Amino acid sequence: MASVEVVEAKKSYGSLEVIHGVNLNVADGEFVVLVGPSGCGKSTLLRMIAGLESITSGEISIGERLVNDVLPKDRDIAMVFQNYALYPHMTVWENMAFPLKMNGVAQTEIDRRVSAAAEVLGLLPYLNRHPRHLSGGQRQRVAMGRAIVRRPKAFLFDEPLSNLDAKLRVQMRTEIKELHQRIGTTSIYVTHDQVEAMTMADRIVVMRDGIIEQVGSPLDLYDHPVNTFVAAFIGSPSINFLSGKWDRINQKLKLAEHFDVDFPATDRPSMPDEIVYGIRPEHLAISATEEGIPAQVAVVEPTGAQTQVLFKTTNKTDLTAIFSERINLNPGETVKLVPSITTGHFFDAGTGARIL
Amino acid sequence: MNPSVVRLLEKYLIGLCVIAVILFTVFPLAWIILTSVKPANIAVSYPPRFFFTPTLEHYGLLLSGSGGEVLGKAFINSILTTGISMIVTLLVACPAAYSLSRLKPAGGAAIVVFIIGVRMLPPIVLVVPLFRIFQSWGITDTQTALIIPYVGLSVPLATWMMIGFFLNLPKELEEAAMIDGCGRIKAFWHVILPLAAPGLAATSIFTGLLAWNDLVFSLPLTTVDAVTLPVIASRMRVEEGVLWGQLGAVSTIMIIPVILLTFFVQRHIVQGIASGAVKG
Ligand SMILES: Nc1ncnc2c1ncn2[C@@H]1O[C@H](COP(=O)(O)OP(=O)(O)O)[C@@H](O)[C@H]1O
Ligand SMILES: [Mg+2]
Repeated sequence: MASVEVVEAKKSYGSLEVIHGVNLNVADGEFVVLVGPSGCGKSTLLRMIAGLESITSGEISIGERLVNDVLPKDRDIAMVFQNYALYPHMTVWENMAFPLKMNGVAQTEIDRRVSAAAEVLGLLPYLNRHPRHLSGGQRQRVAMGRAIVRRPKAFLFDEPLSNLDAKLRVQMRTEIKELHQRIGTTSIYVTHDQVEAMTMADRIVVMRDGIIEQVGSPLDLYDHPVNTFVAAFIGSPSINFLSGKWDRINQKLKLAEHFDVDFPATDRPSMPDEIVYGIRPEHLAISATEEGIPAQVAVVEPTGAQTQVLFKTTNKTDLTAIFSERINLNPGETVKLVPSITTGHFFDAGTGARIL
Repeated sequence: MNPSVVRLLEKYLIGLCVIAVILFTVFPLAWIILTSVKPANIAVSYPPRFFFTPTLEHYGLLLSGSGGEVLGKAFINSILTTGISMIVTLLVACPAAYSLSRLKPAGGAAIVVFIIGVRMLPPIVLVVPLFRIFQSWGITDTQTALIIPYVGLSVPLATWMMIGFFLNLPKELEEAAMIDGCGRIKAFWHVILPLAAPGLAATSIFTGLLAWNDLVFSLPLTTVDAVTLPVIASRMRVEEGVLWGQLGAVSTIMIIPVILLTFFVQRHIVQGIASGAVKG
């Protein structure tokens, strides 16, 4: 096992720079998830760590060893690909034994490790099958097996679950997390699915357009997004944004005709005029008074445990609210919404950056 | 129209087409084999006769005197020139195609066009210069004199076909192999080559057939020692006309190895054509 360190890493394809100087430290045994919209450079960064893409500038180290010029085969890492990349001409057994064979592990040790992995992953009945005769979930497990028999310094995953159906995806997500808790190998996991990121990660790295926007624990990112991009990306359903004007006379944020909110901290920085106020769906409540943001009920979606309601404000902004208690609302009805907490998120409307 | 009637019609139409295609391909083959066992007097009779007492007289004539020895030598020459050409072509084209498909050297596309361009040269254009060159090297009428142009002309076609097969393999397989402890060569050997094998087999058949059937080079470049079966076949046209029966017999002998080979690798060919050649 080992730590992985990326310092000022850049990647260009020809004159097009796609990774713009990324810094990242993955501690020994940590499970880090790279998340971001499609095309933001997650795979490229992962492949640079794997050695499948060259590093245009910067440094990458695995376990204290600089690997910029080390071939993938000598980096002692294992990778699980989105399409699994199982060797079609080899059986399940041969697929899992392949990396050991290539690394000169003795036959008895190969047998022992492959059997052990097959047992853990429930693959014992399929050892003599070829990948084309396996279901998607089984293939996924073989790919995992091929990675864990290696006992590598680090696991790299590139969207390993995105080819599975929703139910299997949730199940495998749990299995991978369990596996990590058991063997504790440093893991870097790429996904575009923020739910996967939230549920699996020790730390999440949010990327956009080749740069890292924020690094932190799932709840860190949820509670303290550094900008509107991270705020919107993390959390489902998505955070609500309301634009408001900073009222310099009263030192309050005016969100509606007769409704304003206080800035959450006592020592206020200098405030811009235009502010985006972010509030999570579960932090909206129906006002008991006449104070609040007027909103018309558009859609009511009860799921039993909670009820999700889509509102439209007077200027046609969508607001989503989640109520844990049963409520009685009908489409077309107008209510007043208020934040149920005082800690809404304040962002500069110009830059999108968090204020304080 | 009633859908079940349409489906029935469709079925018959498809059946008819299949029969037509089979007739079209099998007929010449059957014709040659029939000719080789037809009595000489009805060989080219019109209308053609399909019922007769088969005879082996043409095979007998072919093998009589020194005929057997000449035919045997030609057979061995054909097998050797074709076999060696196939192997050398594979050995040259396979790495070339792999590197062109993967390493993308500067101007890779231009190289491919150039390669195909070479194949567009009419082979006959090469015969005279080759003849002069081989004469000065003293290798006319040797198997080498045939293998050189066969390989020369097969490599471009084979390379081009194989590029298609290699491009068709997902690059993640190779990357997985490289992460699993292979260098490029090992990854090629353990993962790419086994998967490209059907394509390579198909390519080999095509290049082999070029050599096996060639007359353009073998007729002018061989006289006694290196003659191949097509040359023998061409000798069945004599002053008195064409010895149809013996021509049929030589042709039949030529067809047999091809049929055998095709039979053994047909599954690979079909798979190969389906997976790569079309895209290439
Ligand atoms: N081989 C390549 N040549 C040129 N551009 C590439 C190449 N591979 C990826 N890119 C570009 O780099 C960016 C990041 O791609 P990628 O890392 O695959 O994104 P992600 O995995 O986050 O969806 C994209 O804009 C993509 O178009
Ligand atoms: Mg990707």
